[in-house]
Amino acid sequence: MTAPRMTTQTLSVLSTMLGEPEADWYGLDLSKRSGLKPGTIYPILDRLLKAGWLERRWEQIDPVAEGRPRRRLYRLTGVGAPAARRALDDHLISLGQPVPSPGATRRPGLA
Amino acid sequence: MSAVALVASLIALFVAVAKGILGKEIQGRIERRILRSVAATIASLPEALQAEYAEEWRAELAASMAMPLTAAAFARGLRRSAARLAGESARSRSAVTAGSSGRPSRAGSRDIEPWRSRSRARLAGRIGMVRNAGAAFLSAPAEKGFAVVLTLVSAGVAFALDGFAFAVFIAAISAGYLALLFAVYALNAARRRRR
Repeated sequence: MTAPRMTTQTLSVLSTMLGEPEADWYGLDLSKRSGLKPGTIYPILDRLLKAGWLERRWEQIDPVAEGRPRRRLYRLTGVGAPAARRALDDHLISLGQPVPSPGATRRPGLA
Repeated sequence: MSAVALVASLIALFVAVAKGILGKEIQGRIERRILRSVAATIASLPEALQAEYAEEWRAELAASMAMPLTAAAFARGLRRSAARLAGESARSRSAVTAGSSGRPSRAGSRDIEPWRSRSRARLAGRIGMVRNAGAAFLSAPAEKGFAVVLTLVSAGVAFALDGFAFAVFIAAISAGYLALLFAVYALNAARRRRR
């Protein structure tokens, strides 16, 4: 598997996910939190999935009881989380900005 | 109760009822249009991707349907996503790979699917060209200044007018602007044909 193409939007998605690396995210929420236009996030998720940085599963709910269809949830993999951190650090270094210490919580969004 | 008060009450009642009915009608139409748009977007994907994304996108859409503007923006975003996903899928399918002999082989790959509707492709191209013509027109400093002055004058005139005259003026300005864009587009198209 090759590393995914890094665009500003991809970095923004990764930065958001690294804010809560153990969390499960669904597309609409992820696009809202990362500041991307709603619905535009799927090619990015697709690339990250193909690279093995993300895994996805269907939400475990009873759609009838919940009154809504099940969502697909995305989460950083064991390979994806450190790789995403490295990619963000590389990006910050290229911008000449300080890299946060490994224990520091990352703020969602790149700015 | 005076006649005027009675008429005013009846009008208020009519407006309230009409507003409720029209509001529901408009919301219903918007929702139907959004659902149709998303269905068309899903249908435009290659079959493998349709199976992958149809349920997910419908679930996300259902969650945002209570806010029609967000749902409409989501549907528009999905259209862009679908185009990109289909493009990436087509590129990976048609990628030339090395065969067992070491020579390039197209085994397992398929040709890129053409647009489903030729007229739609032509229309999309034309809209893009008109948009580009507008962008090119506004990118030149002199034209940009002209557009700003025109906008300010229009806003001044519109401010001085009211009621029906205002609506007619706005319609005329919009039509004029569109006509200008089409004229620039036609000019560019004619230039291209000459080349």
